[in-house]
Amino acid sequence: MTAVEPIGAETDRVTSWFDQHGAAVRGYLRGLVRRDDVADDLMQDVFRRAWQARASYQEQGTPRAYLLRIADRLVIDRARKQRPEVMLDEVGWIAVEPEDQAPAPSAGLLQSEARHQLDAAMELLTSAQRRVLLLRYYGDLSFAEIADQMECPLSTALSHCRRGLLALRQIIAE
Amino acid sequence: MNDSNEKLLAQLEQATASATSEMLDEETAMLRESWLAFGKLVDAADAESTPSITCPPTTRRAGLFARSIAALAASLLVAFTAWSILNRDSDPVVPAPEVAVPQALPSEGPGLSTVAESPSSGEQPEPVDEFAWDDSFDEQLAITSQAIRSARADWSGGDRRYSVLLDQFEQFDEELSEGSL
Repeated sequence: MTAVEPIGAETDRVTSWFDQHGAAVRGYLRGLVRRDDVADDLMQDVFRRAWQARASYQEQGTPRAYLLRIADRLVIDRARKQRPEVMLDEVGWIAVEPEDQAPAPSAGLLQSEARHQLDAAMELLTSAQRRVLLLRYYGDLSFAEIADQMECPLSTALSHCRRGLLALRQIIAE
Repeated sequence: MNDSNEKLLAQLEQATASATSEMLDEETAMLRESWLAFGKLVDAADAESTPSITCPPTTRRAGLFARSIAALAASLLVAFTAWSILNRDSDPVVPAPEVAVPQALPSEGPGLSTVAESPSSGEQPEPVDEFAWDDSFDEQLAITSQAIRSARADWSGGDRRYSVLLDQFEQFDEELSEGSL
């Protein structure tokens, strides 16, 4: 039987999770989906689900691993539900274009070099290789935990990791 | 777990460890190099992209303040309109000013035509003067005219008040839009 935490403590816990692990969760999501807007949306969903489940949360592993597990499932769900994107012509885009509140495009170009390099590196990897490397990097999970989260044998997770690192070596060499 | 998996596990744990001081074999060192480069890429990308899911508190407060002011202004407008309508309906009819009414027509001289006096001066019924001044009818006309003038004055005054109020609301709306408040 677990002790029941007061509601304030649960709220504080989720808030501290956001402060401590929010950047890692977003980085993990960004690495998988490679789009900032989608990563932001999914990050909201991760913490919304953690918030909704705050009363039933039980300490099993680290909070970061718990959050990354939610994030991982959300990415998989999104990939399953994703519809083919509709291409708009210029007239159609003008009609539906939301008001842009982001910095100027030139500022984005100056700052997005590292993200482009990361995206290029991610392109070299398969989905499974990306998940293994990102879970290892952001979550600092053991390979057994990664295999458990990916619902695959440990040998498969190890193989994904090794092949991913070898693939990354190509872009680093370039 | 067989030997090859154990060896691979040990190799990858060394290659992907946060810090390692052990001497690495050639293949492990190569994997370690890739891992460190991957970490640099991820860190650099994370440094550039910051989460944009939070709203600055000041913006939230400003938005709330503007909405509150707009709601208050709309409530005042509705209340003032209702008050004006009720007040106009309950206004008593303004009494007509007294109008000077001639009491009698001059008996001589030019003026309104009168029926010629009959040559026979016996007791005869007085002739009917169809152009004689009708005091009651004239009084009704005066009262109606005064009521119309009063209604027009009341309406134009209210209209002017509405115009001033609407001008103020439009100016208030512009200031809200420009964020000068």
